[in-house]
Amino acid sequence: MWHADEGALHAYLDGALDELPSGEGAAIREHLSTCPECAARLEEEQQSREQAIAILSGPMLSQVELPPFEELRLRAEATSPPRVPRGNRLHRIGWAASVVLAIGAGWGLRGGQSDAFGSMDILVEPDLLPVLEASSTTPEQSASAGVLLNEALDRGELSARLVASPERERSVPVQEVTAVDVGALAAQAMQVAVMDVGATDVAGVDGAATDVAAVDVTVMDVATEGVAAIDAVTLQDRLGGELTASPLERIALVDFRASGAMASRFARALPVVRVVADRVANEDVSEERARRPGQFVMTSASRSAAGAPFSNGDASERRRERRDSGRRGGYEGPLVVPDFNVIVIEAIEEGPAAGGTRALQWLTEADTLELLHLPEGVTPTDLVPLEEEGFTELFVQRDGLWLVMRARRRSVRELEGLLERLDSNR
Amino acid sequence: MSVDWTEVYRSTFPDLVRFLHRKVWDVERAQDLAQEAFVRALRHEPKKPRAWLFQVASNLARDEARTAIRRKRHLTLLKSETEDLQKSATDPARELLERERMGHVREALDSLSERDREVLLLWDAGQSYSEIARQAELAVGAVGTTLARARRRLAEAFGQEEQIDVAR
Repeated sequence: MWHADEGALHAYLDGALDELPSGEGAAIREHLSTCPECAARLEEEQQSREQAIAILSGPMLSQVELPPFEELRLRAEATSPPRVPRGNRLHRIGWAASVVLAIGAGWGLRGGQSDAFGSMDILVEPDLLPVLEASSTTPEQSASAGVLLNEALDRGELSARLVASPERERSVPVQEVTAVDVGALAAQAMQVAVMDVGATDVAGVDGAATDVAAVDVTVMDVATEGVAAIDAVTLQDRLGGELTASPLERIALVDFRASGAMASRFARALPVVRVVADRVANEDVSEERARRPGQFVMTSASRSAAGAPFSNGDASERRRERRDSGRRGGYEGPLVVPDFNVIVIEAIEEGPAAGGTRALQWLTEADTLELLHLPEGVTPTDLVPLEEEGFTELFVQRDGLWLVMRARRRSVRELEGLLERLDSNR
Repeated sequence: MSVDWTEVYRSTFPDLVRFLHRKVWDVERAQDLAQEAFVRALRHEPKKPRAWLFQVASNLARDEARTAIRRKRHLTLLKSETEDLQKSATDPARELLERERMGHVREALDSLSERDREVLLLWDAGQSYSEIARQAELAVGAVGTTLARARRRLAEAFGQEEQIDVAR
């Protein structure tokens, strides 16, 4: 005999059974009326539910002032409307439509100029909604690519996916297409609008032509209207060997640069197996990337078809390879505690910890966890003592390097708990 | 079908402030962010205003947290938190209890995973399972399970906080 799971019991208690998919609610309701075992469990769950309600209630927010609505309306009118490309007549139609952007040679504008639409092919598909904004890439980065953008007018439905144009399929190595794919798919999972896809570094990493392609994907967070860039880089060349899987999984490694919420959303968007970090300035990354010294590269691995995280040997082998090839060894353990969003991961440029890394994560929206990974030879006693009150610090050694954890108003025990979670990610 | 914004405002604003308050722990900032979400909603005119407002509010709270001067912010936060309570409570003993309790609620919420916390706070602010599912990127059928776990863990963590306090 089946029994209702705790989720079903809570849905029942919350009066949400009717929201469950087809007929499930009715079956659960009927079962609960006849099963004494589930009825007893229901009582327990009800207690847990009531406890939570009691904890979350209380005098914290007894009175909320409702400011005059007219004020808000005036503010809304005074601020500019969301950016809508001039050429996009479809935006206000209100029925489904979509835009296919063919990004190709001859489009000379970058940076979201609406004039760019004048030279684009815009194809309308009846099932989809119009694009919020997009721009083409520079002519010199003009490997042809296309991105299909859909934005539901009621936000939350946004998606973006790659549609390679016929030209692109003929002329561009598959690796590059895959990198764009990853960027676009990640953007889709992140629920942001792709504004710009530009191929860079098509030629020349480690002297190899076109084996590694870097792709900048500029995306826009529709809700906050913030713009961020993701650089997706295939590392097939660096790894060597043949990688085969589904379009997304074809990529064994994707380097991406993003910060703040974008970084964490991108990390979540890909099935992250491991995060490693290193300084950007080393010989096996491209010139373009070296032009941005100090920026941090997060490397995210997606699962291969066989289910193994990498198809080219294990992590220790790769670490050895990197050492052998003379790369500066950065911190290679887990950089962030799972489940908490990453605010930023950055190389420490100044001060006693210079050469180390710093990861800042949200514990809640108003509270953070700071992780300092100190470089070789630096110990916590070299650091400037933390002057701010209310912070707790924990120092631990991992693989011969010091790790410093800091959080506000937390006991050392709590930090140790976070450390365990960090270690479980190793 | 046009949206009656005055009605949406009246019915959703308090819920939105409640939701935001447990993310930023400052009544005034929660109200400011809720207003900002409404200003954006009036500009975008989404078809499902309530769901839209909660999504944007959540993003706004995150943006707040992203500021470069986060460390100093913490100190400011602690200060204003205290000020809020000073404004609202006149009895010093009661004020102390309220402040302690709020600290415990906060610590207990902090101990949840991000998704559990988000789902719990959305539910607490009156969102339906479907709306929660949409915002938290869960299947509707998974909302109950997430809530069950979040409620249990919240109660456990809150109990531990209270115990620690008694032991002091």
